[in-house]
Formats: sequence, structure tokens, C-alpha cells
Amino acid sequence: MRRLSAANCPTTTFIAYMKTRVILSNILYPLCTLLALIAVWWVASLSIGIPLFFPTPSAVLAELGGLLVSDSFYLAIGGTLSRTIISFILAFAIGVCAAALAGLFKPMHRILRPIVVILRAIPTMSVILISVLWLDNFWSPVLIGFLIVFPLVYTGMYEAIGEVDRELIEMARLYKVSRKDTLTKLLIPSVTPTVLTVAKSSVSLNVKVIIAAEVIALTARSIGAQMQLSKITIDIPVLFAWTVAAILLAFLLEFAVSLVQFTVRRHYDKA
Amino acid sequence: MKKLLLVFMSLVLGFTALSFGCSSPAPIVNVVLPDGAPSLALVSLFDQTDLGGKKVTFEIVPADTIAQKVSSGAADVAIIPTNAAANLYNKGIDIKLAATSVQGLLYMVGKTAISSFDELKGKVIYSIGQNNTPEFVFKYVLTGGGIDAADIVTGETASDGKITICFKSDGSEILPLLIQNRADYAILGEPVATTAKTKANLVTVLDLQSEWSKLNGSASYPQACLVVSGRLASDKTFVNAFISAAKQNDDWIIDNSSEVLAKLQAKNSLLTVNFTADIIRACNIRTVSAKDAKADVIAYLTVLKDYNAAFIGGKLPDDNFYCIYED
Repeated sequence: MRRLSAANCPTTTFIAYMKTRVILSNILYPLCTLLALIAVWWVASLSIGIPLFFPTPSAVLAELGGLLVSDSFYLAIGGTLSRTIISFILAFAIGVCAAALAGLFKPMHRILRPIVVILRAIPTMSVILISVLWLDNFWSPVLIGFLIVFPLVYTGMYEAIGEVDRELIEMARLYKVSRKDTLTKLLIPSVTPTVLTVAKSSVSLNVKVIIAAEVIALTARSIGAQMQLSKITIDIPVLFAWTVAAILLAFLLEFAVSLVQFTVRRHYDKA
Repeated sequence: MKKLLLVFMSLVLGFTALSFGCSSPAPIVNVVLPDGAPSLALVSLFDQTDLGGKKVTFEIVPADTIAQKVSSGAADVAIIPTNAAANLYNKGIDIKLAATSVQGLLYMVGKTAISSFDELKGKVIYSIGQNNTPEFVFKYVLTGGGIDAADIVTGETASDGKITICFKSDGSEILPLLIQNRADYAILGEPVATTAKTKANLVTVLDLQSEWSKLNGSASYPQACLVVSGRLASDKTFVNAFISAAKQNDDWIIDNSSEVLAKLQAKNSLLTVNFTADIIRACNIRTVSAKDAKADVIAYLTVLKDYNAAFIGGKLPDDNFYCIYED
């Protein structure tokens, strides 16, 4: 129905219509979910009636406001962010390189596969508990983040290489396309979207496990240690506020990767 | 489909919330203890079903959940860190301190004894309890003994002229460091302190309790206490009967130390220490009624408040916090 009526309109109006529609549904639906979640939270909090342990969204928002004007907030966010970025870059770089090697030389994949399988299966908590015995409280969370993200990036990249059209590669060889061109014009553009999608989903996971490790390692200047502190002083609304802050941090990092994704896509569309 | 899911989810959550909210207080008095040494304070009472004219049950819960149990009303009587009791009281939870139960169980263990605190300068001391009683009591003892507060730092590596404290979240993280000779000194709570001494061949360097009483004048610092709900506090017969039963427990656990572990484990405690009379003595389990303990509690909370007021809920609790009966 709508399509029909839209089709009768001049093209520009149609595009504008579709754009608003896409924007509306991209913003409106998630917003509805968010509001519904907050409503459920509010009702649950009020009916349980122990604001000390299950605060209302407004109480948490007030605490978050309080955090935003304190220095310790930015120190903690900065510390956790720096650990996240270090471990993510290491895991991403090493993961992509290892998978590229494995894609080119099959034996490499057979050597690496058991390691990746073990890393994927190993319980995060046990690695955290073990790593705090050996590493200091800065590097222990970084290691945990690395161990979580590396197998994801490796697997994603390796599979993306496997999905590149064999016939296209064959054709490039037949027509004597240079190795450099095959790499930059065929291989890299085909694997980049997949790898960036993996990066986007693993960056928030990275924040999550790094905070978990910070709680156990008592890392100075960290979201994890602040969460632990609010538990000790029984300031549960503050713990909730830190949780919201952590979610926002993960969201911002995902958004940053989306921007990269967007730029890359536009670059390839132009080419 | 999405909408249906949403409606379903809110219904489920709403009902769970309601069922939590409407739970009426049980007619049975529920006594809740945190897993760990403080639960020793009531071990001999576990088999009793009637006390001071009321039915009682005993439950051991993970130490982290004790504050929530007390606030939600799931516990009518509980053993809880004294700072947490004050904190909850200041936050408007209707509880009263009926007695103190654990008079401090923190020790510094190490390879060699020391003759003055200055010998700790340039060393790393591993410790449990950052932003918690162990940190505050240790710092209080050090500064009271003449160490400049600026010379006590937190970190991982030793620095000249300073006492470095390296915090770990649990004694079990410090134990391997001591055994491998990667740590010289550690602040630990019982019963881990004794385990460390045996496994790593260490001595007790400091008894923080006796150091405290040298400085403070009070016998020791009441680390954990017995709280009762405001409703129960009005039942003088019950509270007095409970406290006198707890007082008898103090000697019972030392005389019957071999039975203690089995009784704790029967209540699902995760402790595995073979309690000996010596370990139990080191835990300083001593029940002191609120009337006699009030001054010590105030002295302890005052010290804690100076380090971090939020730790006790911002201020010293008022007189109503103490369950004292006028005769």
C-alpha cells in the first residue's frame, strides 16, 4: 500500500520519505525498547521496595550525575579505556596477522587451531584468578581482554579469507594481475567488512571482561575497582551508576568502530 | 512478535517483583551468618530450635550477601561487620547492635620478627581488605607507632624509605606469594594467617589487636557484631537469652574445636580449615553485650570514619543503634 503511494510521488520525495522512515525506525524502535526496559526496571524497583539494593532509574541517574563531576570518575574511565584499547589493538593486530598467515599457509592454521579452540573454551574467571597471581593489576586485565578478543578476530578473519571467491583469485592469476593488486584490490576489500563486524562485536565484550578482571585484580584507577569500592561502602545505587557508565563506554567504543566501518565502506564504494 | 515478547517480559518481571515485595516476615527467627571465621560466633547454637521463647533457624550465606539479607528483612538476627551494621543503620535500615562478636582477627605474618616499624620501610607488605577494615586498622597501627602517613603508599614495588602495601582481593592470592618467597610480609585474617604460617614457615610479626589496644585504650576493635531487627529488639527476653547463649559459645568452640568444622559444613559453609583450639583463640570470638561494648564500638567507628566516612555510612550512628535495656 505504502509502496504504491510512494511510487506515485516524485523520486526526490520518495527518497526523502524512505530516509526518514529508515532513520525513524532505526531510532524509534531501539528507543522504545530502552524506555520499556527502564519502565520494567522502575516498576520492579518500586515493588521490591528496598531502594538501598534495587534503586530506581532516577536514583541511579542522580548518582551518575554525581560521578560525572568527580575527578575519580575520569581517572577510572581513562584507566579502563586505556587498558581496553591496548588489549584490543594487540588482539586485533596479532589476530589479523595470524589469520592472514594461516590463510596463506594451511599448516599454520593447523598449528594455531588448537590454541584458538582452547582459548575459546577456557573459563574467563579461571584465567582471571590465575593471571592475578602472576601479573600486576594493570596487565592482568589487559591479558584477559586479549585472550577473549584474539580467538574471535582470528576465527572471523580466517573464515573471511576462506570465503573470498576462489574463482576470482584463479582469474586474477590467469590474467596475470600483480600480487600487489590481487591483495589490495581483491583480498583486503573482501575480508575487511567481516573483520570490522567482528571488531564491533568484540570491542564491547572486551570492556566487559576487562572490568571483571579489574574487580578481582583491584586495579588502581579502574571502573572495576570503583565498583568494588561501592560494594564495600554499600552504595549500591553508585554501583548501578558505574554499570550504566560501563555500558555507555562500550556503546561509544562500538560506535567508534561503526564510524571506521562507515568510512571504509564509503572509501570502497568510491573506488 | 516483539511486542508480545515485551509484554511477556514485563509480566514475568512484574510478578517476580511482586512476590519479593509481598513476602511476609516469617514467624520463625532467621539467624544469618556470613561464611568464614565470624560464623564461629554462634556454632554451638546451630542445633537449637527454641531460644528465649521463639523458634530459631540458622543459615550460613556467602559473606558478600549478608548486608542484603539484613536490609531485605530476610535476616532477623545476623552476624555482620560492625562498619556494615553502622552503614545500614545510617541508611535507614531498622537494625540494632545487640552485641559485638569478633574482637579482631588480623595479623601480620612474615619470615622474621621486627623490633620496630621502621624495619618495614623499603618493603612490600601484601594485604587483604583494600578500603576495608584491614587497610584502616593497619594504617592506624602504623601511624600510631610513629610512621608518617605520607610514608605509607599503595603499589606493587618497593620504594626506599616507604612502606608499600600491595592489596589483593583474597588471602588465597597472597598465600602462593608467601610460599614461593615472593612476599616477605602479609596482613591476613584468621584462619588464613595460621595456614600461611604453617605452609610457608612464617611467624606472627604483629597482632593488630594488641597493637590497637596499646594505642586506643579499648580492649580491641569489634570487627563483627550481632545485629537484631528493630522489631525483635523490643523482645528483651529473647535478646538477652540469645546473647547469653552466644556467650556460652565462646568457650564451647575452644573446648570442642574438633567438632566446629563439621557443624559449619552441615550449614553449607565452604570452610575447610581444621579448626584447632589455637586457631579459634586467634579468631578472638568474644560476645560482649551492647551495653559493655558501646565505648569500644564508638572508638572503632571513629577511626574508620577518619579514613573513609562512607565506610560507616557517613557518620557515627546515634544512641538508638545500640540495643541497651534500661532496668
